[in-house]
Amino acid sequence: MAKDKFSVKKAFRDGLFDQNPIFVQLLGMCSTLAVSTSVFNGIGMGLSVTFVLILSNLFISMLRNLIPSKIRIASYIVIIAGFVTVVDMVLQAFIPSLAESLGLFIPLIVVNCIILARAESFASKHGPLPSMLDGLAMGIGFTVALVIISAIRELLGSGTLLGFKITPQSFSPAVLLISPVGGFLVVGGLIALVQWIKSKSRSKKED
Amino acid sequence: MKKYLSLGVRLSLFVAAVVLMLSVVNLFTRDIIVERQRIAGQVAREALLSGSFTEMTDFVIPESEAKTVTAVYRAEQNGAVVGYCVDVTVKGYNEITMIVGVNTDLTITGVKILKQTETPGIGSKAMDENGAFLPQFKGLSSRNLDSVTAISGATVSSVGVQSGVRSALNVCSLILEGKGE
Repeated sequence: MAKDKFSVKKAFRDGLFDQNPIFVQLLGMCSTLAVSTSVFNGIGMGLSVTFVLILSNLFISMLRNLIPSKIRIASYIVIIAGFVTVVDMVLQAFIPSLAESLGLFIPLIVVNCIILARAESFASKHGPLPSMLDGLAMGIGFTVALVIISAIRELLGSGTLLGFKITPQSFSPAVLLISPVGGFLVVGGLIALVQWIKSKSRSKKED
Repeated sequence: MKKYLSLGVRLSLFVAAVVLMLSVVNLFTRDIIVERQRIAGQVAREALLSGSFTEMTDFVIPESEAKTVTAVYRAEQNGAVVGYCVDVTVKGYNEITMIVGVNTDLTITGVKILKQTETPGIGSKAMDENGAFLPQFKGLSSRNLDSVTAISGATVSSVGVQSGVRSALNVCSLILEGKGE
């Protein structure tokens, strides 16, 4: 076990807010921008990443004393790639519509830096249980962030939520938000918002 | 030397374990994936033409169309050929896989998109089966194929689909000539 005590509450607080993979750590931006055009994709991508994170963290933590530090990155990638391929095959077999819309971004989870970052900075230094919880917390943080981004983009860009028409007929959706440019705008706006909230709560503490 | 060898051996062991895991998962998912794709194609064909379908495995796709046309199915009803379904893969902004239904008089019964990753909100407009683009093909033949109007902003996707339809018509006319039906 690590020296500093592991707190479940802190892990989730980190994952959801303080160290949110997207809004604070800015990890996995490529897939975030690409898949967040609809909430369905956002949830699917978030859960896929969460699944891979939990399992890769678990196995890397269990094997951490067997993995020589010289080849640790190669070993992590092998383990991560294995689980990503499992997700890819399972989605194609059981949720083909999701596999279709996420397309290339499922195989690309392998190089999603969130997973490698958690392997390197957490799972390789902690026991299996905390590592799994860390994977879960980070994964949920990633999923929540993706859902927020994709909800904004889908609602304003297509006028739908989860494929259901929400906005009135007279509302003409702003296609800009569905395009990559819109992705950057929404993510940038949300990062600013998160930073603003953080700085406000910080200045409150200092008072 | 020995140290490096042990690194290699260890990494190989990890790889072997992962490969074992993947082969087990593949065992369970492979058949389902193949079956799903087969059913998706079957459903699309049945929407385009009625009758029973057989893949024309003995028909050699001419070299000029071999890049786009991947398979041809013959639709038969009461022993008579009623048309052909042509599996086509074309390039829009990305790869588009679709099926084109063609009657024996070389008119199009419809176009079904099986797989596409065109830009959502832009190119994808030309992929919508109930949209403004795809329904235009119904009833056309190679003579008036140019009368379709592309979706503005989705020209590349639209033109891609159109070129695929042309390939399908070419192949079908070759089949019909060859058989003299």
